[in-house]
Amino acid sequence: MGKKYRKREMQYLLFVLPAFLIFMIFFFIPVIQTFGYSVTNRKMIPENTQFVGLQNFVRLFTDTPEFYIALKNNLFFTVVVTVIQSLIAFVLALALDCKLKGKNLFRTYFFAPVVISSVAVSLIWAFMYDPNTGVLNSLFDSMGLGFLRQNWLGDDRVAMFSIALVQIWQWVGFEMVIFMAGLNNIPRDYYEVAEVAGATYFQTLFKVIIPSVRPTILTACVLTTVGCFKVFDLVYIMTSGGPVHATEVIAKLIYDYAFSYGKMGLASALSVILLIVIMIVGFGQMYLLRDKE
Amino acid sequence: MERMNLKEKLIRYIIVIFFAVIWIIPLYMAVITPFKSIKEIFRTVLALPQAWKLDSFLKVFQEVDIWHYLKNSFVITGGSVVILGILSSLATYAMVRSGSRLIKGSYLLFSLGLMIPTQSGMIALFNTMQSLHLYNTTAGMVLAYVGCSLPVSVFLYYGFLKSIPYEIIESSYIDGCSEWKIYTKMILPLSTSAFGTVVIYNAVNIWKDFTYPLLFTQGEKIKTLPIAIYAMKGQYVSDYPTMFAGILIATLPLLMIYIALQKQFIAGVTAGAVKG
Repeated sequence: MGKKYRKREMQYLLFVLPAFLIFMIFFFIPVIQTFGYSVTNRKMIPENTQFVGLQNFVRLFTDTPEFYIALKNNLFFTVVVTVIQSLIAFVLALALDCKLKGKNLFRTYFFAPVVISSVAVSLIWAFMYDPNTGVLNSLFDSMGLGFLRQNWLGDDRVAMFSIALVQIWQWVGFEMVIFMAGLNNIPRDYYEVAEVAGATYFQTLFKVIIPSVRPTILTACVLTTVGCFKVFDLVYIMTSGGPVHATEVIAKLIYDYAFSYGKMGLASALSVILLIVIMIVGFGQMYLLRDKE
Repeated sequence: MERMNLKEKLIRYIIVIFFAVIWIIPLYMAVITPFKSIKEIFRTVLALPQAWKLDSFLKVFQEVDIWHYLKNSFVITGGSVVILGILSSLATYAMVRSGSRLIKGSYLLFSLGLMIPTQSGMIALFNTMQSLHLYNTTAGMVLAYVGCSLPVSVFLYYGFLKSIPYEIIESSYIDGCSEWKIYTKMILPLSTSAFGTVVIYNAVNIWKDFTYPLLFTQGEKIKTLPIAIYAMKGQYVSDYPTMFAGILIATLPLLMIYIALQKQFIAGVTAGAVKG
């Protein structure tokens, strides 16, 4: 028996090994190495790399104004996207939470932008945002709302918001689908009880529906938040961080430091910070969800 | 809920259609722009093209080697997804079945990987790719994608493989079947739905990905569609019709598959959304 057992375990080991090795070499070890780089002054050419302790982190926090700008932009972007996107997604999910003709069609429609590459999405929106020939300004003009005209990506006061709108456009359907699944799981007798009690729609919404889908709402918000902290493509393609750092975000700074200026050490320190922020958000979700169940 | 009155129905439709109309503007622009001439674009932004010209599409096919990029995207995405499907199911099966702590424990490591965003290791991965001579190679791209997508794939399989009643399999042991045989003859056929989820989730992400090819490829050799579209931004600075013809051609393949398999796509993409 022992021999047979050992033989089986050997086979299992061989099953795990290829996945394990690729995972280690191409993902896990690089993450650990990046932690290692973050305490060195490593450059693109790694000769003369020295241990510098926490100097990179100190430099980021005390001597790098772009870092604070990027952090502020990431936060602004995250709040705008999470709030607006979740609201629209929830309203849509509520509206579709019944036997409605064309329900599946709408679901497919709103989800479609998710499968379009962010490059295509960015270029389409950059075209629409063009201050002179873009469709947005001409739409406002033709509706007599000329005062809403903006230099969408060129004005440092609105550029970050403009990018947030693109993110919302692309991902609202995704959040909507998550909400729809959550709403679908509410037992139908809850509604019946509310109806018998003579509750209005809004009473049912706040007393029955929202409390029942709280975990779903939380999960969706965390997914959106994490996605927002990692935003890179939209910024890189549409504004490349400009005008003058007005749309700078952490992921874009990491890219610039590492691959434009070759400051691998500093860029790694910044990646470590981003990882920690995202981990906190993730653990925060787990903590909040456990508390309720 | 069941007896919906007309007024309620109407309100629901108004809400959904209101957003649907706003949401269509970018798609509408993307579709009509390539059929217009440059002059037309600047004069009438929203109007339909005066004549549906195909010049821009012809121009893109002449000047940009779309087929080459399409092929690259297809090979890299296809290769990664097939390898991911096989390796992750194999590994997860072993993790579920093994009695050894080492093998079972590797699941924890993959779970940890689930919480780490892909970007976190990118800087060091850039060096790994160069020192292993995998920079700007198809194999390198595939391995990089497999590496960062394994955690999600293992996670997606784990729940499924854990739920199989293994009593059915115990009898095969008596017949002296090897684990490999059990895996190929019983587990793989049983887990086609999980396989589908893993394939769809990863295929969408890898097909769309912009960052890995930006960092790990160079030049024309293995340029993928997202980078090719990005390059058109510089090549056709204000020649929007041509640029949008390119965008449309590059976007349509996945979009059509999505429309054909929308149920599986929506389920697959949201199932893997746990990745940090």
